[in-house]
Amino acid sequence: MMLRVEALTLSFGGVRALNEVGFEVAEGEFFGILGPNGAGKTSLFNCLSGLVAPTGSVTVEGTELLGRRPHEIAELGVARTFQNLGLFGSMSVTGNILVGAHRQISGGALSAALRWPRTFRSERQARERADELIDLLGLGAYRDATVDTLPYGIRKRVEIAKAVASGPKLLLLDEPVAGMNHEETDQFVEFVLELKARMGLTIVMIEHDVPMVMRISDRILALDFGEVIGVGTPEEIRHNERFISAYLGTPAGADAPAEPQLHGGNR
Amino acid sequence: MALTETAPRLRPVRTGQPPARRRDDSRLCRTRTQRILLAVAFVAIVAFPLSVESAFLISLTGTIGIFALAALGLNILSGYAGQISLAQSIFVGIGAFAGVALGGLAELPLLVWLPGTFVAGGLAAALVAPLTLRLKGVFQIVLSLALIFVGHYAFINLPALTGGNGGISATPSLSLGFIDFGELTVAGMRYSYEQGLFILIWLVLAASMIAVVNMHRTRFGRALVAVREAETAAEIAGINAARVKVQAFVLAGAFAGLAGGLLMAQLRYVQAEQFGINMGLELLIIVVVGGLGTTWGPVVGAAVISSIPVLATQYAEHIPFLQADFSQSGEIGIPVGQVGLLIYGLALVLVMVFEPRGLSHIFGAGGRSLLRLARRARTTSEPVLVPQPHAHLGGKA
Ligand SMILES: Nc1ncnc2c1ncn2[C@@H]1O[C@H](COP(=O)(O)OP(=O)(O)O)[C@@H](O)[C@H]1O
Ligand SMILES: [Mg+2]
Repeated sequence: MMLRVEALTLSFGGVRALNEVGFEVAEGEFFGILGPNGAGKTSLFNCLSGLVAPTGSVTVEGTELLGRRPHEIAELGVARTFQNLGLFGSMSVTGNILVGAHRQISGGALSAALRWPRTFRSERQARERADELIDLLGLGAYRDATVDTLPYGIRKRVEIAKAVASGPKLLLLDEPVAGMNHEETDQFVEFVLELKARMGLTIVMIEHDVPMVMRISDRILALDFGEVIGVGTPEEIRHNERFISAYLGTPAGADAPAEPQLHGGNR
Repeated sequence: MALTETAPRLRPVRTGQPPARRRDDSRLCRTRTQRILLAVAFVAIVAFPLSVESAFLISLTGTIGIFALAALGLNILSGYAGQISLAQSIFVGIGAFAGVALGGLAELPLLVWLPGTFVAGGLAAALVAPLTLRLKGVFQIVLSLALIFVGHYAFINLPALTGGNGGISATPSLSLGFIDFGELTVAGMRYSYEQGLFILIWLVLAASMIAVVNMHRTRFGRALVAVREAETAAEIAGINAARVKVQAFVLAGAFAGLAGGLLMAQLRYVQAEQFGINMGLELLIIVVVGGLGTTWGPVVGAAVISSIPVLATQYAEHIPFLQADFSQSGEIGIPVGQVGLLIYGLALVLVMVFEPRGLSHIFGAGGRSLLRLARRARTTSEPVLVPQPHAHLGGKA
């Protein structure tokens, strides 16, 4: 099993962001996570990447993640993107991707200072891989551009490139297409599936675009108020009563999703 | 899943532009011009002191080199890693007194005592790094002030090494065996101690700058900048932020120690008093005015900040409103002793308001547009596409 989450509980003061959450993700799976705003989706990712200290258990290929620091979890091959982007603004696109590739490059301060050949060879190889990734994601025109100067849609792509550059086994994507239009979303689906196939990734993706999630996920987890309200194939989730009422307002709303698509808004 | 296997091969998105030129940005020199300039710099380091007679100019430029070296270290910590420290002067002091002990008292050769000052500064920094890097912003300033007081207290209470309040003199060897910078003889010409020391100072500075550029353009340097820009995202990318910050602090201390060793060799007399808050502030201002996180910032900043007060004192009589001895003349004017403070403040405000990226950015931009003009003049008819030097990682070389 690539990822196993058991009895995961996280509280912020009085607020239970996650309550006894449990699910499993198999190797090579495309696993979607759906849930209204404030359901605890990002909090779940924060648990997986070591940014908060929940109770319960999270294992990746049998290794316990809880209690480990974020950089140690990265070492285990877990990469993630941030909903609000976690980019390094003054660096170029290449620079950001190379930071993502940090754990794939060898050498420290001393070997760099002395221009140790092995260090610089590893550096050159990383730059070649970064260029491949840049081509794959259609970022060629922005290769040396400072990230701060780029439009949001491009920065979202850089965020994904940065996460993928670490050569992860498990990739966590937090709302990767939020704010993108139809065409950009289709492009995203195309390259994320390409990346998955090429690199043998297991992907867990949080996203609000229900049709898109249903289309590309093998299985889906539905969350509401920090609780699991359903896990299953897109078909099973589509017909899950609790999911329909949580996500689309009322069971009837499934056919008329025009009004408040995400019930409750910000609660 | 079926969809995965049948995913179409991705067409790289086409743009109107030709494919980006693939440069290896980790190289030291990216253009031929840079290679030539580097060679010219090394020639100048030797030729300048040997052709300049003025002892004043030699000593001033030597001092600039020493302050640039200490600022180079601080730039790693404050510029690249984004951590504030006013206590860089304490590590300069530790290097100076380590130099007194190793080069003066123990009379060890140059190749031992000078690297010894680097190690001493680094070790001292390693000792306090875990403390200071836990704190952020204004608390770091408070702690570095405390560090200055503790350091000063330690200096004056180790009189065997430091001479206590009175200071201590030392005459370290500047000999490498085959060449003695202390009594340089070239083609039958005998040069002064200061002329030889200038060469040593600037060679050490050049080597240190090259080492820092190499670090900045590779994994470690990117980790520093990443931690400065977004610490959580850096951690998620696998960077141990705490460790990287400690390394930056240790490097800052080590280069400060090296600068202290050279300062000791220049003055041949050092006193605990020198390494207080004034020097700490001066170094921070050098880094900010020169340009935080730029390659040339420490040198440009040191040239401006360290030389103006010295020049003002030297030429006080020729400058209106400047009084060498203000209390007795009865005239209104700025006392020369305080002109340094005034200029630091002024430079800081001007840079903050007009070019927060620092003087080296202004000079760099000026140099690049000159270069562009020159190239355009050479190829009048053909339109040339000058690669835009973006301000990306390691850009401002
Ligand atoms: N750092 C925090 N401090 C306090 N409450 C938080 C924090 N992070 C998240 N929460 C709360 O936890 C709940 C889940 O938030 P989040 O995981 O961001 O939801 P989602 O990503 O599903 O929109 C919300 O009620 C939110 O207010
Ligand atoms: Mg969220």
